[in-house]
Amino acid sequence: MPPPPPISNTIRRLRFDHGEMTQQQLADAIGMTRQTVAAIEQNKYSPSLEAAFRIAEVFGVEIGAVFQWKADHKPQA
Amino acid sequence: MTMREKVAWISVVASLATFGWYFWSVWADYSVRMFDGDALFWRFVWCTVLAIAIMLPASLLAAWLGKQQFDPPADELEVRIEAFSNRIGLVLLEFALVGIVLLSKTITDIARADFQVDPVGATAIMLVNLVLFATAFAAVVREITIIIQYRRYA
Repeated sequence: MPPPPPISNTIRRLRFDHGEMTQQQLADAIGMTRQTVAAIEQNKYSPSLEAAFRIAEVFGVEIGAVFQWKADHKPQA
Repeated sequence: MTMREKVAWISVVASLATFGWYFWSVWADYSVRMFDGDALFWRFVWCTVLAIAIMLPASLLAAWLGKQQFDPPADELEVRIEAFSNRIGLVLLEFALVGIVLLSKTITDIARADFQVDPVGATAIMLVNLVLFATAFAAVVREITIIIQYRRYA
């Protein structure tokens, strides 16, 4: 299995802050399946830039507040 | 479970049941060195019809029970999973077809030795069924790859 992408996210907290929004509600809002939202939230899958912007738009925050690059990550050769 | 994963499960089970039986019957005919091309053709047609008759209602039932769309538009992760699985299936099919071509001389020799009444017909039947087997095998592996990918991301 490939290593998880060097990106963390705060989707779980943002969902909590938005009235305990469910994964399904978020998925419906961005046109994805609940399973894809779960995979993004658990950092198993890095979404496209468009999907990342859509998620940020749903929560009304900048994309950097949703996804954070792990600066200490060293790319594998 | 997404609808696409459910369809993949249904497809694998239905294909293994129907085409598994078909290829087992071809092997049984080969074991007694007696091929009937006409019977095999119609057996294959019936197996295909049966597979569709199982898959379509089962998928509709799965969608209804899960209150899901029958054929929802794929999102980016699903597109990625299907692209990867299609690639695996295609590579497997390519290798299998090349293998069958390389085996054709051996198949002709078997037909000459074991089917002396009609070696040409037996060669054609064996080659066609090997191609069908390679195609069905690649399709099943593709569906299994889809399931594995979905489980990995679950």
